[in-house]
Amino acid sequence: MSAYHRAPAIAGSSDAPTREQVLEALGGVLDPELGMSVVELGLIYGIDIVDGAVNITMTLTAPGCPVHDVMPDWIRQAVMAVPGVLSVDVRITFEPPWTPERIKLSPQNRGRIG
Amino acid sequence: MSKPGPSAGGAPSPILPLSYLVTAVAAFVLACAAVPALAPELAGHYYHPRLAALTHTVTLGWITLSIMGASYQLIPIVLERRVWSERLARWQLWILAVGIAGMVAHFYIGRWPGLLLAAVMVAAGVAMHLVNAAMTLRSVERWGLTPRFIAMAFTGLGLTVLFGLLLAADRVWKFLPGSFFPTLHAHFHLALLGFVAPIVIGVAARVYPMFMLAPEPSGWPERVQFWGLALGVPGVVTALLGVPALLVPGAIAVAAAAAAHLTWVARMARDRKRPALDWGLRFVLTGSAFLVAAGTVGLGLAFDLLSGPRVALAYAVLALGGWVSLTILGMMLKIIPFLVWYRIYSPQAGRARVPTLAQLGWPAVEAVAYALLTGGVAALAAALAVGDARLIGAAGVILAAGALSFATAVARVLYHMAPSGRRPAAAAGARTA
Repeated sequence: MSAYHRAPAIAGSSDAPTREQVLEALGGVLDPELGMSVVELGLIYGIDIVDGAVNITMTLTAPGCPVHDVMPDWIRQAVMAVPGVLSVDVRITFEPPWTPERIKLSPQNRGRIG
Repeated sequence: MSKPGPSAGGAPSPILPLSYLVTAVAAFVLACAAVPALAPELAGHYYHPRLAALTHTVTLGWITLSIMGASYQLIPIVLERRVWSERLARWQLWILAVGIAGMVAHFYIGRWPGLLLAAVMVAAGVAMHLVNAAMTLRSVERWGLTPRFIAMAFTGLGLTVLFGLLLAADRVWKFLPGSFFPTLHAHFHLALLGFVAPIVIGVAARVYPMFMLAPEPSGWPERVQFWGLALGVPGVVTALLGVPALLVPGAIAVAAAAAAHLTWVARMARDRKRPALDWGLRFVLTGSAFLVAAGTVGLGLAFDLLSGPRVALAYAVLALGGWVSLTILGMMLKIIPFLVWYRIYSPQAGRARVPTLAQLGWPAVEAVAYALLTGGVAALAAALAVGDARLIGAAGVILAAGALSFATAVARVLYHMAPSGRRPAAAAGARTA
């Protein structure tokens, strides 16, 4: 799996990325058809951060999702913008398969996915 | 055209399916515009050379090219297999376009040798598609519902073309035994039930849940749809060719498949997580509603409760113009923006703000197209049943205006492919990364 890298930050510095920062960055990655972020759609299964290396496990709405090939690159681009992130690995899994129940249906979202 | 752009999920360059879809939309506009001009002929018997020209503009130019274009985009995504040969697919479009234009022209002027020659070209183009599809499908390991329906549909397409060739050759050499009409009716029902119905159902199984954010359908409707068509279509076609005892059981099996499909679509619409429906989904769902009307009239014809060429024409319009065409129009409003977005904006996603698919279109014009086309199809079916040329002409004007509105909406989306039509990245409303 390919990953994006940048020069290492000083270990233990205040630049160390947090899960909240990564989630905030992922909140800007939208599904182009639905207009909802990958976080709101419930596509993110896991985020591990170790010394600036971010490992993201995620799914797609269906195995045949047309953005299958390019979504990981969008994720990497967005997360690499977080200060202190040195590398991003994205793993796509379909176990467990995504279901619409994973969508966080806040009143705000209900209006947006129309 | 320009250099190959990115492709989606193993799909070919977006230009390939777009070429088919744009050609199909041109045929759709031409067909709708021809309805008012052919109103006197439409008020009479359906077997008229000019009506055959109109019918083949719809069935080959509009429906078949739409299905082929969509299949080159959707089959690789849905089945996760690359198209076997993009080059073959590009040549196929040219051969089909010339062949279809030739068929329509020769039907219109009533020249049968030229018609046969053009039909051979169409058959060659279809054969190319079938080879490409077979070579793509052969590596599929898990034969789920969609691959089975696609295989069924392309078998139906091959048989439809074979019957069509026989009919065209019979116009020249008069060799078919018995009456001409049974073979003609078999040809029509092979096209509608053997080719178009399975491809619509098979593709719907995968893409409707994606578009509506609904659970993937499963259970008895799936089996009833497959076996209803697998047993019903041979029954209906054999009955039309000379074993009338099979007509009622065949029609019941097909009606059961249609009812199961409607149950399925209704469940997805009911359980969807996407509350608001865009115009593409409205077209699709309204098309499904027309299946109720088409199925009812079809059963009426099968049970001899209805009869005559006017009802037969109304049935054809409800099925081809209502269910099939409205479904295709809806799917196009989903597929074309995606293809354009993928080619133009996908490379910027993650690096800059880019528009969402919904922002590429022109919803107001799509709404006008929806109102005119759904109303126009219903009005045309009613006018044909009555057999009044003035009413048919009026319905045709509504349809033509609807088709032009639809083409305008599609053109607005395609305009993004021109540098002057692109949304500046920073000005686009939604952020895609």
